[in-house]
Amino acid sequence: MSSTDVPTREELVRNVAGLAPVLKKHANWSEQNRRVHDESIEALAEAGVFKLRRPKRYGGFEADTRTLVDVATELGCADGSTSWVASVYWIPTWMACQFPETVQDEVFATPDVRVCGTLSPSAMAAPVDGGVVVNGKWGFISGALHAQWQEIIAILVPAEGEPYPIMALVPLSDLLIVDDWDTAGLRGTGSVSTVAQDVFIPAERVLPLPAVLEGQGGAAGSIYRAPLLPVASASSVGTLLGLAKAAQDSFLKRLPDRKITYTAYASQREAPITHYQVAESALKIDEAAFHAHRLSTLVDTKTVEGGSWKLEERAIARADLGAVVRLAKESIDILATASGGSSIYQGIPIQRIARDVAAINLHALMHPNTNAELYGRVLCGLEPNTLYI
Amino acid sequence: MTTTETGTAADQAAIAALTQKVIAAWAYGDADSFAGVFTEDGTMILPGVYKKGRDEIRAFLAESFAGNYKGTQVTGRPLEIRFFTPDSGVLITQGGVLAPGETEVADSQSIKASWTVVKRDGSWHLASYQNTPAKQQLPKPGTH
Repeated sequence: MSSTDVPTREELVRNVAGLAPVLKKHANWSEQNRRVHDESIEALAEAGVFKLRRPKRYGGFEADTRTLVDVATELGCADGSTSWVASVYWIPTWMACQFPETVQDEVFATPDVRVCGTLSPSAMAAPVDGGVVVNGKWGFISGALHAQWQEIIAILVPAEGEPYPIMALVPLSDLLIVDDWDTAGLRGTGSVSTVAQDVFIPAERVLPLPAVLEGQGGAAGSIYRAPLLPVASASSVGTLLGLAKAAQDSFLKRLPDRKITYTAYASQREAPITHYQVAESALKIDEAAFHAHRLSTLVDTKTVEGGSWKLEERAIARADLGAVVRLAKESIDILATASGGSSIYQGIPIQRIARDVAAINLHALMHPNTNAELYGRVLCGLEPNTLYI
Repeated sequence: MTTTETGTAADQAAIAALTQKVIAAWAYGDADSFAGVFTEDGTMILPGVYKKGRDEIRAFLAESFAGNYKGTQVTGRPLEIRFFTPDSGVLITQGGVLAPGETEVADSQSIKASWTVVKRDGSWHLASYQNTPAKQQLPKPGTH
């Protein structure tokens, strides 16, 4: 496929919007089985979702992050767990493009390859002839059940000198999956644990983590040349916008037929409290969209311009992520609160949406408080207290 | 985690890595690999259990992985590493065994452990492992 065959953002969004019936159909199955349905994965593949961050020379689209936001908004509107897994794949796929071309040849030999990953260094690596041997376990590995590769993080203990974190690529077939995913939110993601026991990784599939955090892949102007955390943040926010829109759709769809039980309101639609709630919720979606788009614009603009990133820009990327996550939850919770006792049945989407957004708000990199504190810390002239910026 | 002055950062990390080897071996139910962490004459002391030497340890683990520990996971983290000499020291950990479906260690399974470690031919091994329930003491002497 030549680069002229890359679909436009509008085409991609339209294709993905067309998946909604399939993704919605499997949403309850995914919750019950704690994993994304195989047919949903196939549908994502057909719509080109796994090509978005794949290099063009392997038939990928090298889509910008605004496209990721818009695509994930559509996916999140259909099903939060499926959208989460899709956006998780975008991040380690991008990380795989930090490796030398021979490694990328191997990874991208698989059409629609899916790479899952982590940022947690919960494993140790020891140097051996030609590479490293890794032992350890990683939790919360969204997408592992449908991935061919995992990007892992481990602490390498060199023969001499200080230990340091490395990132490496491992075929899923070299890892053990521990099915420990039984959760209150994002239940359908199948975010199981994986275990490495004495897994040998050749040196070419190992990079120092700090190099990856700086993102020096590809040529100047390439999407692979940007710091990881702003890229990962921009890859993640679309799902939140989608969840918030889904809650709004779900609420408005049920509204005409609902009363406010044990009150004189025969129709919830007539009650001023409802008007206030719907407006507050809608404005929070708009605010979340502002932060999501400011974030993707920052990443995409800096990518095209190719300049270096200031600390403040990296901090504001995480602040925008936290703001989207917070505002989406606030927007959803307003409507979930107004949805009545009848909304706690499994078949009513808003209860799942509320649980999904609550789970995302607890994620270590997404937590609104953590992100706001980091941004404020940098605004106050202090050094960031994390590697992940 | 606190550490003492002796021992390089690489030694400390290599000792801490023993916990990862055990976590991985346990997940695979791999008694050989777990036993391989010990020195040939290593000892393992658990409440009600005393095993001496790799062979006894391997046999005990194989039986446990097929029995009481079937389908379980182990978790643990280093609390402290102290070196006695550049080639020996002790690692203190806390953790325990997770039953299927558990993600946090139950009080009754919570242990603290001492790992007496030695460096042989450039790599660290477990000379003696002993754990003790972290949240309950032995009954008052004289009670039966």
